Amino acid sequence: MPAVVETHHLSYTYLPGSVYEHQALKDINISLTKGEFLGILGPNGSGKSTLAQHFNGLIRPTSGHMTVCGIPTSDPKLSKDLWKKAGLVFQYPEQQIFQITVFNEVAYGPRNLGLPEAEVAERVHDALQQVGITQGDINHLAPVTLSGGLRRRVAIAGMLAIQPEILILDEPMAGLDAAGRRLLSDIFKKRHEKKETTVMISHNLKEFMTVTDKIAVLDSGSMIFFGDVKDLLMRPEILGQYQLELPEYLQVVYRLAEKGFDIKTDISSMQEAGEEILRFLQENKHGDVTI
Amino acid sequence: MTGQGIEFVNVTKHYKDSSQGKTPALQDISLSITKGEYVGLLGMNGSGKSTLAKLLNGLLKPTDGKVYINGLDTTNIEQLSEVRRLVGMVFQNPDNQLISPVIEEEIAFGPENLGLPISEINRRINWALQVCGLEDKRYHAPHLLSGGQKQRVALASALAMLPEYLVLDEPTSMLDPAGRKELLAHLRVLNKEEDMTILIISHNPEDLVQADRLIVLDHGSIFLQGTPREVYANAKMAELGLDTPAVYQLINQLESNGYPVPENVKSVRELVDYLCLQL
Repeated sequence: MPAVVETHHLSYTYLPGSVYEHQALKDINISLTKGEFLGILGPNGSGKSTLAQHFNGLIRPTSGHMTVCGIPTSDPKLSKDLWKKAGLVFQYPEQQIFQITVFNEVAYGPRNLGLPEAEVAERVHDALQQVGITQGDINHLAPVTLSGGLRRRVAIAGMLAIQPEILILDEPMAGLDAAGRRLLSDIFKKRHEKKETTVMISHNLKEFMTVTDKIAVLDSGSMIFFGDVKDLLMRPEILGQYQLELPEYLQVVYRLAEKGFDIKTDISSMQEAGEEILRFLQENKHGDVTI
Repeated sequence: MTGQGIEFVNVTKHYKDSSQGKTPALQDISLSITKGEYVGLLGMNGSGKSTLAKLLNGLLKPTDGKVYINGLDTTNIEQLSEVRRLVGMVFQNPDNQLISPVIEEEIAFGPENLGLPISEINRRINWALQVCGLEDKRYHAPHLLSGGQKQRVALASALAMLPEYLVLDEPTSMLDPAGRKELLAHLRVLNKEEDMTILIISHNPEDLVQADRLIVLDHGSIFLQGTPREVYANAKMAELGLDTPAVYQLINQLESNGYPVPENVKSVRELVDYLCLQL
């Protein structure tokens, strides 16, 4: 499988030569194959968003290089092709909505691709459906009148309508309710099934438990870890240092196991954890449970 | 209306043009928050949480009904600056509230406007920087920080006002796990030791378990209120599609299988300790 994303010794420095000079990324080497889901974790200010903005050439490496879908991101002549292939959804993307109707907002990208209006309409419809907006009457409303959660969905639909080969999202779950988060998870699962590449930044390891193939952990611009999620779970020193929390049901069984109790730790859902804890209680309690 | 605390009396808020058409963002809300209380506000996106928050410091005015802060009417222009001194706000998106080119100035802005002496302003800046873990960023520019760092600056600015009521709209959404835990610990201390009343809005159930009371909004009305345990044990929560903290899901599962768990068990550690006692 050829790599769809590849970086070699990528480094980036903000405002070089000024008093605010700050090296945000140091010697980053990652490689993704088509269809993989990459999760990026790391403390505030560790360089996650800076890295995300490299994917569509918004920021170009100060040194080292990066290719996305075969395009070197440093080449300004190719940036027009890159934007069509790599779609970046910023933090709080609802802040960047500027069209006067929901339809026009989502249609903005496809129209810029020069598609005929019939196809634009089809893509808008399809993208809005993906984000759970099925009522056509919303299409003609002004986005500013929608709630924050709905505006977020509209903004994400605007990027989906471009149908990028690789989708990059910077903390898309922040501030979304449970339904919104489930909806995004479903979108990611479908992309994963269709072998479409996705990159997501989050602070919550729990969000990476379902579809993620690769995880990158950044700290102060350096990559502390890059590899499979399963391998990260085997690195308690990293989990501990960055206080990356496992789902609570796993924490409960892990802690019981740490205390030397005979409890199964190979558990993949809340339901299973509950059942295992019940089994454990029934087999191990001596005397009656105090009520 | 006099006295301490926050009082909502039959508050309805209509936006002129909205996706809900004629449905108001908030509908006939009556609510009291006592001074010193720690309240969590939750509900789906669009349920009216942020609208309720903006009514608290007079950023929005009720279409019907009244909002009182320590007896002060938020629609009374003459009392508005006092209302805003009492109620500190941290908005969802920090970019909406950062205005100064240097973090120190950003945090000093509120206290300076209160006319405080320099020494007191400095004391508050130092304290707010320390609480928010920003000591080394004092002379940095807020707009050059990452999203999560900006969120900390917004919080520090609100804290420096030493408000009686601190309203936080999704304050942890962009914080890293360590930052989130620190913030929650500080909120607990501010609430218990400084008697600061806290109203926190969050979609993250883990942010809310330390509240005294949770208020669940749905379509602009109060759907449910109670202690976190009461609210999360309520079967109606699933109907609304809201997340229950994993700890409570486990507790619910244990209780429905005949293993009652005491009310004071609220965290993974407490649950593990309790389970060990049963053996």
